[in-house]
Amino acid sequence: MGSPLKKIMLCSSEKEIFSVEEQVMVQHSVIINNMIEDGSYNYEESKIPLDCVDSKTLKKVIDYCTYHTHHHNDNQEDLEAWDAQFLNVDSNGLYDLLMAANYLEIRNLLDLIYRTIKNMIKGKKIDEIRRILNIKDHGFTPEEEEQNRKEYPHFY
Amino acid sequence: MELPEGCIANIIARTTPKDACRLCAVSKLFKSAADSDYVWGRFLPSDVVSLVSHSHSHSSLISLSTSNKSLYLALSDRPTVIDKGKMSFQLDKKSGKKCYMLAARALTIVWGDTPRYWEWIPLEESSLHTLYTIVSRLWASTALTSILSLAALFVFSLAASQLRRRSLCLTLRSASTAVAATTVMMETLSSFVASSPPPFSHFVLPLSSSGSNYISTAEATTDLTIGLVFSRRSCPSSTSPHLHLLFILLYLFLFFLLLCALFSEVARLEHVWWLEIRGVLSTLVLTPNTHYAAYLVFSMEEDRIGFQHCPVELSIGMLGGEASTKNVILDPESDGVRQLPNLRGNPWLEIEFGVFFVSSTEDEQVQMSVVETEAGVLKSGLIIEGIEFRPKEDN
Repeated sequence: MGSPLKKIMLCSSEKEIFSVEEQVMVQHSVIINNMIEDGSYNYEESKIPLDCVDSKTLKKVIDYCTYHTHHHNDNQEDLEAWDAQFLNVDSNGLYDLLMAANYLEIRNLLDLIYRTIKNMIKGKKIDEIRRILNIKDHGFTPEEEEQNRKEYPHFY
Repeated sequence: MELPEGCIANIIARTTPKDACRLCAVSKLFKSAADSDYVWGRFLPSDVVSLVSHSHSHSSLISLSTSNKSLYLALSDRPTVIDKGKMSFQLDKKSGKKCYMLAARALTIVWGDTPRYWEWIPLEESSLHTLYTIVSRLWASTALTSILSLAALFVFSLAASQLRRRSLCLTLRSASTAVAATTVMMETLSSFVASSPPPFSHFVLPLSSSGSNYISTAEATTDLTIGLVFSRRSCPSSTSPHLHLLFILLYLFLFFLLLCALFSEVARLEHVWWLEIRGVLSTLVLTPNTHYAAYLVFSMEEDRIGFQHCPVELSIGMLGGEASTKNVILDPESDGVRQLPNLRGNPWLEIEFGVFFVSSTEDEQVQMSVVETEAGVLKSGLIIEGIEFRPKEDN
């Protein structure tokens, strides 16, 4: 574990540099924690390149980690309300966040996003789920799709 | 957005088994994720391995289950007897929550050890076991014939319409490894079936065409007349009924289960004036944060006496807490105004003791009792299978 005052540099896909308290990222991201622990991060020179995370998303991810580091003693309801507000984004924004959290292995953020998507598709018809998740190509052959629709008409 | 399969699996793992089956239709990727061991491993109780290893049919359970999904389906399809036959365990199909039944032997029955008052009736081995043996023997005979490219026809006849809602696990294996496992709802099966001579239907198992021998094992529950027929793969499924009849005559093993009970013995009431049955279960074995209901599972003989008008007191409560009590009529043919038992598949009936809540961690003992000691009426003809615990539907 690094000292709380140390800062680390994260570099977005647009090459924008974000300076974050080391403690914040170490606590939340498995990947960054591993980097710091195995000594591969050089405080003077290193910038952690996150080529698949854009600036807007990275800023949100850092917001999430910062808030949860400093407010982890808040009561559950307040945290949930904050989380709900935090994830009040469009489906593209949610997808970008998911990919970033997946890449950085931020487990509590991943869990939050998974639960949110689960609630988005819960009890919905298949066609609706495809629309919500923007699934253009379901990958079934026309015969398979027809068979499914015939067999389980109430799903669609 | 194109979610990676791992993310989809994580989302599905947070839904229910019922949702997972439905989400298969969203896309190929969803289907692959929704069938994955990861997802179904999350639906299985964390102590499933130790539970299954205590069952006396565990060898067949493990060997027939080629994936977590098929293990889940096997465990939710029918009860698995554990604890030396004193208990059975099953998963609630929709939610994956645990259901248990305490066998009559695990209950305290006053006068239960006196044959004059209570008789213990031994029953046949469970239906699954019988079927498993028969099918294994069938394999031995086909091994001798060494026919290449077999197609297996699963021949069955539906004895009871309620079976249509059950699912069936069909597993095909070569000598060393399982090659295909299919779990089908009987309902789906019956739409697949080609016409065999009545009352039989058959279902063609999707065997691979490579030239090795296959062992086919099938697993089923109650009231199923069943057999396996092997024919050359080239043999179209629409061959004449006579040919099928020939195969059926050659290979069909018939068995009917007259009294399909779960445990190896049940308690039959010869006659008593003093009826008192008590049961107790630790809530630790149940799924936490769930409302459960307990049911008395019993049957009545034709010539029973003493139950038609005389109410029996059922009570349920936590050890050291308050019990809730109600008076019920156990005789299903009584026309009284009190609560009557429900039919749960011949010949068994069930009646609810009441509902209780299982909290997360506390080890509590839930106690049930069935008492009628005050009316002074002679009672006879009651058969007790056990006390069952199931999650209450609406949670």
